[in-house]
Amino acid sequence: MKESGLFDFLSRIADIFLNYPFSTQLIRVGLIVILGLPFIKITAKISGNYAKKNYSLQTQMILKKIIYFGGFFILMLTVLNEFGFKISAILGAAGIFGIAIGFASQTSFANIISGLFLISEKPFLVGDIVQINNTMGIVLSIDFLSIKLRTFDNRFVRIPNETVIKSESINISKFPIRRLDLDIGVAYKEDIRSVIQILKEIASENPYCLDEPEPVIYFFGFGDSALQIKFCLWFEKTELLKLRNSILIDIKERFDKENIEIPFPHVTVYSGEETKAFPLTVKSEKR
Amino acid sequence: MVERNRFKLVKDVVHLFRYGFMEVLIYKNRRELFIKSKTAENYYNSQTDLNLQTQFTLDEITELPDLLDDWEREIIKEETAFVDFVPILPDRPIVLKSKTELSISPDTEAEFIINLPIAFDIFVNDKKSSAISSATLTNTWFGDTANGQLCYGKKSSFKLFDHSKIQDYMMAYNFNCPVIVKNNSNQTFKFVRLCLPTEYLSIFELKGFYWTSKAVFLVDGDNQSTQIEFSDGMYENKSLDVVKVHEAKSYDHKKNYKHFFANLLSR
Repeated sequence: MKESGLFDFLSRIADIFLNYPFSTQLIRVGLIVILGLPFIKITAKISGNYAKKNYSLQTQMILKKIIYFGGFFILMLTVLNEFGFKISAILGAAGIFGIAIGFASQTSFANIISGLFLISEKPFLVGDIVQINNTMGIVLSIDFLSIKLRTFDNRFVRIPNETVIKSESINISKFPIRRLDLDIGVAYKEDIRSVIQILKEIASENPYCLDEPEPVIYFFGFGDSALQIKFCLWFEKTELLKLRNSILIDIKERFDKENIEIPFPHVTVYSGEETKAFPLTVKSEKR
Repeated sequence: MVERNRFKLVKDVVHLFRYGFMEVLIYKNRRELFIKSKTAENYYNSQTDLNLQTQFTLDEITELPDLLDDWEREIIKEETAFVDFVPILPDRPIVLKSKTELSISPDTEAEFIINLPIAFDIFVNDKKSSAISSATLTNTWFGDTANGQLCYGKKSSFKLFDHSKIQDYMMAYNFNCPVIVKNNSNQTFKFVRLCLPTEYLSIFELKGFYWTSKAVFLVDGDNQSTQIEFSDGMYENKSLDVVKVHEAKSYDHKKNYKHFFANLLSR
């Protein structure tokens, strides 16, 4: 069966070049292509516009691609049919060929299957901000083989779907609000209740910090050189940078104003032999 | 559009518009407009001052500003320009927060008078150009962290509305918003926060003061589900001087908000 199909395919090619009135066929095929291509493009566009009103951006892209590539496939079969090829034989041959290709390209198939899972499971959508392994960026497209991201430093990253399925992916923009957690250390001499009160005031005065859910401020431990405070602020998901930048400046300025010390590790430098201290000479002026 | 706050702009003149402690500077040359709005914090000293000015006033300053760098700039089609100040409500629902939890007994109705900060859209030749607000509202979240909505937040004392003391509520720089909470359930209803969808409130003007239409929250049933109704008119006032300044968006009960109240447990 498969041998006859392949033989038929090759004999048809020979037949076209030897016997058929090639020019009339070319005209017909030309007409099919000239009319077919715009038809596919217009259909894809109309479907895209329809999907724009009713479905997500991701569904729009998938629908457009299915129509686009499906249309091209049908057009190609029509053209081959015009040249006298038997479609069933071609499809049979393509099936055999496909299996052979499939064995040779298992990774691609794994990616396609993973892509189908990604599309159906919807862990993220086009336009979401995601982190996959160490790459963070905005999802540009979710295709059958890979997802494409644009990182914040404007690099284009392609991640195979299989990698996405196997890795932990974090959708940063899934929910409308997020929480920023800051670790703040103050000197042991400071009044911790007063510091917590000041942090509450800082949060309430910051325009990017939501007043509800209320900021979470708690004293969580005695560090090596500081009393450690967790300062958790809720914000609208798009305001991360503005909040982070402004709140750190607010904390520093307010702590300076209130004379609250932010301790930092001190380093003692030794010079010369391993156990001997840095040589110091004390000079005193005689009046 | 109510033309009460309409002014003609003069070429090469800086116009200073004042509404209490709100100030708007507009400078116009041939077809360019420069707008700067600010809040003059020290303009008023007492509650009395707040009650005085209930419309925009205009001063003309002939000295041209040296620096227009931080002014909003707009190029307009016409050489003649009119400016209008149209009162607007906050563009997002406003969450009113009480200091303490409020309880309403079963089968009881409470009518509150809520003060909402006033803001004005600035229209130039009937096209929206800028806006000015009497207060900066904080951002807040109402609902759970996955499905709630972004709102403005405001602390409120939830004063009971005393119809015999209408004059006390005649304060400029605020919208007076009557809010009724009817507890039709057989349990005491407790809340600490109330989400007021401002887009469904109409604005009325009465003797220079602004009021909104009435919002009625009906707490019903054992699970204390809430329905909301908005009145078409102002509170029960038959005065002929009432002018509707802004028509509210019609309320669709099918797209109802799920929750309007939060108590201490659900906040």
